[in-house]
Amino acid sequence: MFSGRRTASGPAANEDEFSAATLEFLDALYGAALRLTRNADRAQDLVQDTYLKAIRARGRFATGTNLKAWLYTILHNTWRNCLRESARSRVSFDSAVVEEAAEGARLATSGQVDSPETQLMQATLDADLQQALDTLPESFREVVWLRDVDELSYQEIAAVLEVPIGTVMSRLSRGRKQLFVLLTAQRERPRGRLNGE
Amino acid sequence: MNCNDLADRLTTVVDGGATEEDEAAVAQHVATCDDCRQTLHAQTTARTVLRARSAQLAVTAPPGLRTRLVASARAERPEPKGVLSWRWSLSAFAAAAMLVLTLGAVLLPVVTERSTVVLAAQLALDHLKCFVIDGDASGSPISKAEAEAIVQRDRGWSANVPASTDGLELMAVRYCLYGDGLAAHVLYRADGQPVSLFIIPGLTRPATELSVLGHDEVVWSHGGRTYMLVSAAGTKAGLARVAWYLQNEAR
Repeated sequence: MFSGRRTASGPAANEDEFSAATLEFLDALYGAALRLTRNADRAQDLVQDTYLKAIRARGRFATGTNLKAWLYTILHNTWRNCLRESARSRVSFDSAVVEEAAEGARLATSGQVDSPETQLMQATLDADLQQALDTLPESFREVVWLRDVDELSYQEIAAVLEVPIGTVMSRLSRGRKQLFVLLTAQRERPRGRLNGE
Repeated sequence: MNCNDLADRLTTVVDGGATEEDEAAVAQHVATCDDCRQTLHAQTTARTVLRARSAQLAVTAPPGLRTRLVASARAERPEPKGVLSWRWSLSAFAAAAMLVLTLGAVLLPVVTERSTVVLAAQLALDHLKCFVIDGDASGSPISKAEAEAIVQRDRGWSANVPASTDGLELMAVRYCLYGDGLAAHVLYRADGQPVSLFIIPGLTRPATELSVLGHDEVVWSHGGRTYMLVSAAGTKAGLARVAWYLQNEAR
């Protein structure tokens, strides 16, 4: 007899469903937070802030679009605000100087252009890859990661990072090139370096 | 072709989203441009390596983070609609208690307009106590048979307790404060809002609607019993529908 008025108790169930869907990406969110904060405690705080904001704003999520990308957008937004608010000065990886340096990085590929990438792939240790990624300027690393690991579209990445698509594409190109240089350089280095020298 | 003009198209080729036309243009260009050929190779390699290793690169959230998130969200949840805040309910409870004490005991069988108001005030008090202070509306609904069995067991008389219906949940049967020993207090949730039905045997009151102590009440009698429906003020439209249902069911 009261059909149509049951929505009064609706949002709670809805919130649970949304929460479960969001928690599917917990590892991915934590990984992203770790890349940005570089600190386990701060990463957890950032994930918590992101999660709570997502729950509160769930009504604004467009069903059928990429929830992971939407969550990343909140996470990056939260982190940007956090940086803005924090008084501490921070070395900016996004400066034009860094971008130019990256652009100018020589591709150590002479004579190797035709060698199969699988060779490099097989020769690259996970730790080396992680180290190379860590070495990338943050703005490049995020774009490369969001595209090649998370498989977000250019458009989604542009939304997450609040930059134009053209910037996404140029950072992607530079980031990949720089990563390639780093991996190639590692490969050419003697293997004993993990022991200290 | 200018290398700068081609840069974005080259990237889309690496990402697999290029048109055939772009693919051809890039292929034609890199055939003669070493720099762009190297860029294509570097981008393709980096992407291939990352995609192949994405599983190994993934981190796992620390144990406990999930629990922490769920707990933090739960802590943020607003009170369910219709259930009054603790602060308000306690002060309302105190005010109601004061009024009842001031008016003193009322002999229920004395039918006056004033006695109906006092009774309504007392039942509003019981309604507040059971729902808000004792939190009796927080569990899961019970069946009509269970509710009637409780009345029979505790009161020694039988009552027809209207069952749950769409939008109305039968939650519990209680005996509170003033009503103890006299009235059966049936707790419902109507669209999430707490609603009390008091069944008072051996008493006939004229049908009426009144507002007292921040509560709206509907009173009617049937078969030598008085029924009083109580809910927080501001839900009159909903209350009328509940009353209509209960009046038909409780016969």
